[in-house]
Amino acid sequence: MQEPTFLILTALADQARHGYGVIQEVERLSAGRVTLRPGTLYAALDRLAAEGLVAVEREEVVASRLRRYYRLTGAGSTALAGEAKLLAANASAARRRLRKAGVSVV
Amino acid sequence: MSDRALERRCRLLARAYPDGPRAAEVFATLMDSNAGRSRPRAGDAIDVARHGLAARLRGVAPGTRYGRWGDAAAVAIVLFAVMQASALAAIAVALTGPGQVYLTYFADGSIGSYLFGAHPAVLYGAALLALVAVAAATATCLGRVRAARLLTAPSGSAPPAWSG
Repeated sequence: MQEPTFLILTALADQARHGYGVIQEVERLSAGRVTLRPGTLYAALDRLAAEGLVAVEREEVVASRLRRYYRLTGAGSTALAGEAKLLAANASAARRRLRKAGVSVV
Repeated sequence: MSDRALERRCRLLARAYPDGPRAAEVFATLMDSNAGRSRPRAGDAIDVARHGLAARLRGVAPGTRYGRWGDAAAVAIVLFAVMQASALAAIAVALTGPGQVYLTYFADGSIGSYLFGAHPAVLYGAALLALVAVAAATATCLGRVRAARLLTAPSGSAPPAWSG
C-alpha cells in the first residue's frame, strides 16, 4: 500500500470526512510531509471506493458548496489494520537490526 | 474581490471534470484549499486539470474507477495540442507578417518553428488562440460537444451545473 493511500485510510479511520477534511488530516498525520492535491485525492478515493475500502456516507451543501463525506468500510478497516501491523513489524525488525549494528534508534 | 476572483478561477478549473457532483465537490475543495488567495496554487490547477481531463476522456461517471490510460491520453493530447499550437503560431505570424519567420522541420518530421523579430504579444496571442482551437477540435473529435462549446465560449460563462 502506498503511503498516501495509507494516510487517506488512516484519516478516515475515526470519522467520516469530506475532501478538504481528508487533505487537512493527511497533512497533520504526516507532519506536513504529504500534501494531497484535490485531483489526486479524488482519483484515490474513486479507486478505494471501487475496491470497497471507502464509501460515501452523506452529502451536505454548505454555503452553496457540495461536501461529500467519505467513511472507511469494514473491508477498509481490515485492510488498514493489516497494513499497520505489517509496517509495525517491519519497523521493529529495522530497529532490532540497527541496535545490533550499534546504531542508536529513537 | 479576491474571493470572487478565486471563485471564478476555481469554477473554471472544476469544469475540467464532467458536469455533476464530482465537479461541484472539486470546486468546493479547491475553494477551501486556497482560502485567502486570489487564485488557486499552480500545483492544484495542474493536478485538477490533469485528473479532470482524464475523467472526461474516459467518459466515466463521477465516482467510478479510472486507471492510468485516461491519464496517459490526457497528457498525450495536451502535449500534442502544445506542439500544434507552436506550429500554428509560427504559421499565423508568417501570414500576418509582423516579423521575420523561419520554419524548420525537425528530424522526426514534426514542424518546429524559430521565430525572430515578432512582437512577443503577437506570438503569445497566436499561440493561445491556436491552443484553444486545437483543444476545441480535439474535444469535438472525441464527441465532447459541451467541452468544445466551453472552449469556444466567452470566459466567465455559466459555472459547472450542480443542484442537489
